[in-house]
Amino acid sequence: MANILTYIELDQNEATSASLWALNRGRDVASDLGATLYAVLPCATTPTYDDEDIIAVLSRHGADKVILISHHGLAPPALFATHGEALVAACHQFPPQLVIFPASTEAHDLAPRLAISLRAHYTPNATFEKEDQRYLVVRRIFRRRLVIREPLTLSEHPMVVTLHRGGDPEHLGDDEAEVVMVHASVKTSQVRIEQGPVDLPDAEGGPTVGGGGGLNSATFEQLELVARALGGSIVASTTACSAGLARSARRVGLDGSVVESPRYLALGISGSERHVAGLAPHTEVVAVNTDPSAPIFASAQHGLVADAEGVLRELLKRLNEDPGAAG
Amino acid sequence: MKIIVLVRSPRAAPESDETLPGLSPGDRAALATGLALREEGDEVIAMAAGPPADDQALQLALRAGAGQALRIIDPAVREADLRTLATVLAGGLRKTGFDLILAGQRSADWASGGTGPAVAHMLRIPHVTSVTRVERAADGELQLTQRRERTSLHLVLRPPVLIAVTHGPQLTAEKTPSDTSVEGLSLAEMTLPFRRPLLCTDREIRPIAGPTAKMLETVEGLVDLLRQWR
Repeated sequence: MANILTYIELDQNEATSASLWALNRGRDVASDLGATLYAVLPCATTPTYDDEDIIAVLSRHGADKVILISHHGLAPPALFATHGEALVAACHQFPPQLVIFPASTEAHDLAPRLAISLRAHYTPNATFEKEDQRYLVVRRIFRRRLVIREPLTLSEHPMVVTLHRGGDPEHLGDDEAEVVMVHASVKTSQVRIEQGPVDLPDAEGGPTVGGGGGLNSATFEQLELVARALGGSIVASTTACSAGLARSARRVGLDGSVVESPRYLALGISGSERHVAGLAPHTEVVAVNTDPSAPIFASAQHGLVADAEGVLRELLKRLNEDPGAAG
Repeated sequence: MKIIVLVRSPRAAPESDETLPGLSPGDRAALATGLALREEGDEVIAMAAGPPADDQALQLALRAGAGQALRIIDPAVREADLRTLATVLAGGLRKTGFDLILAGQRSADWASGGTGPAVAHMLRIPHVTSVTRVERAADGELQLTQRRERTSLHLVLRPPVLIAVTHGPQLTAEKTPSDTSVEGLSLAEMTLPFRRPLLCTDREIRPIAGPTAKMLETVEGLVDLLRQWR
């Protein structure tokens, strides 16, 4: 029987929602294609066993078995430099046809090198789609203009996938998963964590608000205020920077930097290919533009056809009405 | 310290050598980071493995201040899988030597984010991804910040290492003319340990047809959505 391994990322000793979502999706594939679903859990101390312990949580979210890689050197947060060797050892003991990671910074440090180690095909930032009784691994490429669809076959050529969370994880049953231990040797890494995890400051951890050529200098000031009300920061399109509305350091895209935050509100931005090149694959985009055919609506998850100036005015009013607003 | 920055010109479309002007934001940040770290006696070399169109990215690196630009010439890397591309780049890096390798977190075309870690694997050196800051520390070590979803990690490491960056200082001098030319590096001079491609042969690539956003009817709907963001 084929093996599907799902990597479980921990946050304060609990599995992240994104990991449990990935485990749910692994359950779907394992049930339909006939495979054993393993949850892979590196940890520094062996977990306790009770109703709320992590093994019970992983069982309820679909795991048939839990691979426990226990070693004092495997405390979270994980990096390939610190946890990679243990992960590779688990994959050698339970050779997978599919390894699923939740799409996260931690996963994107671990997964590509694990894929190379396993001689596996690597697909990041993907979703699973079911079509005509077969599963497809789907993701957007080339500045969100194209979609690539690859069949998921659990063949002799393994796949490593990082999976976007598409909703809330669900309990799928009460069967207790079997626990299997992997004893991995963990060498002293050349990389050491000096400090962290440290909470990001609001302006870095919050959403990003972008302004385009559809705005003017007065509305750019409002953009700054809206970003502050949302606990985020602002960026600009090349057109806005060229028009002197924002400093060039704010520019996003092929001429500038990247939006890595999970959420991006784009106001008066047409969505040229050069701008969208600066949006990380995981970033959820909400776009406001007067032109319903603006390309930004092909890159966004939500859209509003409206004048950005009026929307900004309304947002300022409404967001500041909220008692939780403006920090 | 010998600093190698991996760059490439963003491709316009799959299976095409046509490129877009400029650099992927990650490559731009990697180049700016390498140049900012340079001290007297250090070398900053830009390296690409791809078609002649990659010279555009390498020339940009030279204009920004890189001391040398090398393009590995091999038709095998045109539509290479991660492993083949990493093998080729690792071959080039073994030839030049390196202390610090900087790469962009992901390209603005295939956006796999895998090239940096794959190159580090081939060279058997550690890597760290999603880095927003790199600074020199005492005793030849490097201090860096890895930005995560809601937190950051402050890391210390000793070269040789590969670092994939998302952000870096601003690139300032990219319009300065450079007298240096891009140099070619032929694979015939290298020993490549592994050349079997691992491309998914059954893939299908389609354009996104038209708007895909779920449209909101009113500003009210937008306000409700944004309130969930806080």
